[in-house]
Amino acid sequence: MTTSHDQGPDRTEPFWWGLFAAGGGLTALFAPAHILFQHLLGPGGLPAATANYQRTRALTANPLVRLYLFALTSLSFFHWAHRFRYYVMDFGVLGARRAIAALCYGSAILGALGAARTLIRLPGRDE
Amino acid sequence: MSYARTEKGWVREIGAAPAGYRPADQPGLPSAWWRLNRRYTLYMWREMSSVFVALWSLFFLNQLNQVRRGEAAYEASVAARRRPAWIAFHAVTLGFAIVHSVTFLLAAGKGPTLRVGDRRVPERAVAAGAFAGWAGASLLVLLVLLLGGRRDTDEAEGAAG
Amino acid sequence: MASEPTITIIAARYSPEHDAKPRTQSYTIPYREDMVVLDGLNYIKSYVDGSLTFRWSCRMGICGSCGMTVNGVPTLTCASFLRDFYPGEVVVEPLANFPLIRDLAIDMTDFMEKLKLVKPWIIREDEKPVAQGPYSQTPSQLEAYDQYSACINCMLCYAACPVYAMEPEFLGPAAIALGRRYNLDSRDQGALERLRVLATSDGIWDCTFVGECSVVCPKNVDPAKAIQQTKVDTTMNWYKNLVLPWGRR
Repeated sequence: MTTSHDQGPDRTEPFWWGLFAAGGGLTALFAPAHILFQHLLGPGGLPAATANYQRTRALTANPLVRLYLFALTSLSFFHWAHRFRYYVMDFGVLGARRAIAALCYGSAILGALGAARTLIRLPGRDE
Repeated sequence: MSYARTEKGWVREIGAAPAGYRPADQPGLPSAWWRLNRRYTLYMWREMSSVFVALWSLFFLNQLNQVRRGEAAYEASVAARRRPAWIAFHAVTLGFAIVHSVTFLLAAGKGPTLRVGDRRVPERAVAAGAFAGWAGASLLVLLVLLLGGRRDTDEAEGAAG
Repeated sequence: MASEPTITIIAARYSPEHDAKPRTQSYTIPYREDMVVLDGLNYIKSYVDGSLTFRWSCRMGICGSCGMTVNGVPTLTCASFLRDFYPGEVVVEPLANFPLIRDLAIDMTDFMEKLKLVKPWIIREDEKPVAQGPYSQTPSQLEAYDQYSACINCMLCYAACPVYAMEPEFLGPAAIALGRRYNLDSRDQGALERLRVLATSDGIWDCTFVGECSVVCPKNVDPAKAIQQTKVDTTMNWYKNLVLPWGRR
């Protein structure tokens, strides 16, 4: 069965893989720090900005911060989508590949849209 | 011995654990093939990590959503996340995030072929650079979290991560 | 008389003429510290059971013929010492993920076909006339593909790869690494042609970077790295073409 091998380079995979790699890189570099400082040491007493309403509001008023958070969260969704779509095959689920891929990337797109919506609707500073 | 009967004939299935003869397994890929060696197992945990990191992103965005609702709502969400269930979730997620970071940054050494002049940058140097980047990025996040959003500091520190 | 040390080799047996399915046979043979698994198999064939069937040739790790599953691990039997298992048993089975012909010999047709698909030879659009001399390479041009040229086609990587186990269409580690070897060769002009086969869903994109292929490779080819690099190159080209469509490729 050599027919499938000769269909030429896949047109869409590089796109998803690029998002996967970018998401993997960003989360690898930044996620552990966020989780540790904000959600574990924060409750333990670390004066993280996100524990305080005023400071969170001031910090997220900055458009660069919003851009960063958008990149971090939505790329983490695309990273998950591409990984997960192949992960189910590791468990022996070899069928319905296009459907599974569509579900995964579709969810990631929805997640990214949701992230954009959240970050755009953040209020600015009081003054 | 682990064999499966395919249309091309008997096929020996992927590596079984050592220690001698074992009775034949059921046909098809051994269902828990990832238990056959430590690297396969680590690979499966690594893939799973993307689920938890994505979940964490979702919850983080959800928390940010509360900013719009005002101080009371936001403080409530912060207080909720001090409960044991949330702490447990974040502890587990941190474990997964670290697995992801370590495996991903090590793999980063294998991806690009970087050259300086005529010499190729060795893999270990690329990986070392990636880990240094991880340390630097974490420090940056810590600084922004500690210093950010305070009224008596100027805007310079509100930079992106 | 002092008894000689012995070791037990349990070898998979399968004769399509009279076996319904593969079985094992246990052989206890004299053991010496300098014996490799292949020596054990040859002892069995020469002195104990001449019907045992297996492939081997150079016995020095360069021909790639003697790959088998030894105690669950894809191994070159000429490179695996019995002393690493002694006094325990050594279970020798055929290479995983390939159809079994007889005993320890597998059908490698699938790999051979995939190898041909990636065109593992220098492809030129224009041939230099002989009078103009050879195609020269600098040391760094050689270094670019040298590691991937070490592949001896032993197929241990295919036996280790869970994707190939589940997905027989997958091109596989060695074929992709060899495709890349030629794509990186400065004398070659056939990269586009090969990428038609490499950059497909049955090619690099099926790989999930388990990495076991590089672990079992006896020649340090690191096919996992070759595949990752191909993914990076292909992706960067894709985005580059998106942004600069007038560029080549």
